[in-house]
Amino acid sequence: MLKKILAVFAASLFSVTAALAVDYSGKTVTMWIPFKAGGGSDTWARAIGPAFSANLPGNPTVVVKNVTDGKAIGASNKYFAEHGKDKDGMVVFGTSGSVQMPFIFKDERVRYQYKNMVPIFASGTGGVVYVRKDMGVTDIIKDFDKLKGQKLVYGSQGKTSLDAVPILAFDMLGLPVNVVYGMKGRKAGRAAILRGETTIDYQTTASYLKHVKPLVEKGEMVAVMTWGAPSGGEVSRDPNFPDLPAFPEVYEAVTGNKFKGTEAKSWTALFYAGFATQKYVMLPKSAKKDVVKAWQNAAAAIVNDPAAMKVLNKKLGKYDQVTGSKALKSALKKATSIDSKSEKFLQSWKDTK
Amino acid sequence: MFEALFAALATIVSGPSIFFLILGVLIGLVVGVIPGFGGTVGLSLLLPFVFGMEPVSGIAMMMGLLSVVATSDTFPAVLIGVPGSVSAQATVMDGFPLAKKGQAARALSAAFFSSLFGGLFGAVLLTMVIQIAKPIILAFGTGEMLMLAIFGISVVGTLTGSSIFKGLVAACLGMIIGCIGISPASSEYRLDFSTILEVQNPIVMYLGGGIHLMVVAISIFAFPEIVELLRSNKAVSEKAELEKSGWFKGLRDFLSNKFLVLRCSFIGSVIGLIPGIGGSCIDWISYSHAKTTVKNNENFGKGDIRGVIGPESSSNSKEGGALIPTLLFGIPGSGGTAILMGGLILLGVDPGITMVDTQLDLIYTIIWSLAVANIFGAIICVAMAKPISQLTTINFTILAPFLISLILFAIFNSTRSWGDLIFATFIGVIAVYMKRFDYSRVALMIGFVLSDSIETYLYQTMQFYTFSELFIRPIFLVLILVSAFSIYSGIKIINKKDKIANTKSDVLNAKSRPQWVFLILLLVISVYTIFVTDHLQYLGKIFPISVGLFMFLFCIIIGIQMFISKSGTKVFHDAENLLFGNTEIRSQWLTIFWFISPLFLSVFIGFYISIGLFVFIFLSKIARASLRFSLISSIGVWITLAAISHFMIMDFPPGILQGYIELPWPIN
Repeated sequence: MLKKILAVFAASLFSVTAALAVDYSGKTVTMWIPFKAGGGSDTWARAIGPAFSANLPGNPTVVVKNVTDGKAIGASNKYFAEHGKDKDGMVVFGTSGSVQMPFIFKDERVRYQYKNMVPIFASGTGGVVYVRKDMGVTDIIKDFDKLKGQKLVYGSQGKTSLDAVPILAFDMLGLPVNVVYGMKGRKAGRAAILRGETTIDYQTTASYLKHVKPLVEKGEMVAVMTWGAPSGGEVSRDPNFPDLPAFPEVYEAVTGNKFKGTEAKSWTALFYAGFATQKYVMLPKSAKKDVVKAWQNAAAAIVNDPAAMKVLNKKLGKYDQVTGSKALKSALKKATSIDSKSEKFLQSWKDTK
Repeated sequence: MFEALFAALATIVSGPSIFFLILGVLIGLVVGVIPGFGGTVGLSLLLPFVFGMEPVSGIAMMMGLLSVVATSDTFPAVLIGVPGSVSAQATVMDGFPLAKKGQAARALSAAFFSSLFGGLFGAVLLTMVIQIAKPIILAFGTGEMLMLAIFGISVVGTLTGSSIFKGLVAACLGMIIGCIGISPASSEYRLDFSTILEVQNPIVMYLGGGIHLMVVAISIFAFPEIVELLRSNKAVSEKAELEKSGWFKGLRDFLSNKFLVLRCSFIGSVIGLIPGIGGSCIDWISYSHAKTTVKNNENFGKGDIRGVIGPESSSNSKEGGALIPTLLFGIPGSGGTAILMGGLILLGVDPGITMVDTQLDLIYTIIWSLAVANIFGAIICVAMAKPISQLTTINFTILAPFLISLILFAIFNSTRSWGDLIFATFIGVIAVYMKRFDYSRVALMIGFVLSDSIETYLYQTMQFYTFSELFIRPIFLVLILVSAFSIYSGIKIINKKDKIANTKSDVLNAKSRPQWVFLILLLVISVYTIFVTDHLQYLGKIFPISVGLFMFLFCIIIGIQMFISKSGTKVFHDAENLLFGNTEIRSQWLTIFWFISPLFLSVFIGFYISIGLFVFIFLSKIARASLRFSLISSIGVWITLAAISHFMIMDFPPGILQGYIELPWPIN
């Protein structure tokens, strides 16, 4: 009798563990992307999708689902409403800076909470600021007063978008930049500086390397600084551009102040959300531990997958792809939480012209 | 250069690339035929397959698709009056009336030959100017783009109905719909009812995202046409026998209008070349060009073949133009080329300034793919034109449930939201009355398409330039002249129409009450716009308030005209009168109810179940088809939708039922 009970118990135990072991074979896993097909985040997701498929247990088909209902905010809200309590990791969420920014600026429409999410994988990028040759600037620190005296015009998508990073940076440096809104994306900003309508611009690393660097080499544009890259809790020089100063460095040299205080903290938060760790693959916190583990292992394996990394590097520039629970958590925290002082500052800054 | 050019051709036609090209062409043809799917959607479907392909094959497949969408989207435009994608908006104007006359095959084949020529023209232009286009593109600053947008608006005059003020009110309404969502200059939410509703209300969230072009395009054109066809309970073609030799006639039409084709192809590629203005108004510009430059244009809008040839030549030539900024600067000139660029990056080909110097062979591959795909696409379409045009002889009531399902699906697919369906119904009902009272729907469409460009570029131009700087820019000045000429020819056409309208009064209604009700509704919309945008920042409110004030003013003018005129004058135009004396006519509201009944049903049982059920009930009860036919049809619709849901990775809107019970795919 006892033997029988034990056998049943063992069998049930076995079946429980068998049920617990994550296996996606024959299943279709969905990446929920709150952006339209063909955009930056979509290309990113389609590049890492097959890599996840190859590295998840059971090699599921990974499909990208573009949800655009109510734009980025609405589609992200919808993910949380529909899958916020999922346990099985069948639908994962892909975010980008445009999802983080409204969260930081406390947009009333946002219903998602980053603290309810477990990050699995994150990709970062950087940005390079450049000016037209006729500004007569070669070194932003040495020629700062010269730059200040020029007619500076920047074409922007809007103050609470990723452009918060450059606009706040210009403000902090005391550069009298006339910000003209209504640009449809960074591509339109680049077109405007090519036409000579704007005089100062930035591009993300990949776009800079592809489209602006040839102009810099021809002598039409001059690169002046980068936003930097995170290293050891600080924002220091971008390893892709070791010769260009990072913004915090420029700030200290030009203003004579330390890169500290509410403004600097606010800028750093925006920088993390918009650049340093911009695109995340996330699971809801309700996901089972094994599921999270399986995804995290797959993420770690992707970093060693040269084919996927080639596309990612091309898309975003060569930056670390963040994997591993600890690194991700601290990155996400930096990207999505700011102290109340910085928050108050950003709220009032948003409303000034 | 020539060696590289022909080496590229050899790579395309030899080896596996040609199969991928044809595959792309076939997918593109299907995507173009289904309303609501354009090149943008089609290409995004291909992206996952493109990843990891050999570059030349991948390029061939994507280009094959992109090149033929603007060819096959003519089918639904001509046959049922529904544009297959945005580039067939203007084709509806004369293509559909031709189908009604039993000349669908003629209209289709003339369109395909024009489209073929336009596509090849674009490819040749691309080859010739790709290496020297940089200064041309950069010469178009925001000032020039503003003038292009204004020129776009100025063609309203030439396309509007008999009352200029009704046309202007419609254009204003279009611009107001275009203002819904985030304002370009101040990033504020506008006209989203957030002043009365809570911000997280689904209505506010939906409107905050702005209104999708296809939602407006389909509901404004297709909804009234289908309602009208359903009411009269006839086939699309008024003749039971289709005209013979439609195919050759189309070719002859094309040949005898070769200079029109050439001019419109040129317009298409040049406007396509300039990123920022968008391809969606090119059709209207070339339609207006066709109408103003040909002799005897009285039949435009009633079935003139030249009204098909013009926009079809330009809609396909624009892709060649739009490729130039995409390849040169990595700045796409159209929605389709934007996705193409994403695909090229996935293939490891990154378009940009260096591409012309380092990868000219790939550019030639792209050009040849464009040309070869156009030829394949046109051959297939011409071959299918005649058999498919038989559809126009079937009684419309049998076709209606399929079309209604298709249209609701296409609208839903725009942003895949319930809001699309509800908003489209609202616009559709307004469009029924606009058609009846002769408020130009084209004007609304043009206003909508250009609303954002005008607002953005007006604001940016004022920031970037001073007046004296602007008036020394030659292209800016030329565009002012072109717009002035366009307005002048508009006035001329309206005056001519005035005379005709005053001599015949068959569409003038004695009953004026519905007219007053509609006018008051429009007045309320203008007043609402002015009041709810007043609290915004200066840059956010100046545009909607100005448009609202103009609309208010025009409404008042129409009101005064109606007040002082006797009944029977043209301001009381009412197409309802054309239907008088026709005893078999169905009630207007009944047909509108049929149209939206699947939506009501969806609220309870979800979109997927409701559509099949609707097809079944409609066919067996209203169309009085046999039970077997109805059953097979509804199952066919279900299978098609399931297939689309699977390949497109989309869910259908759930109803209350789905909230309570877990249902298997694809019903859930």
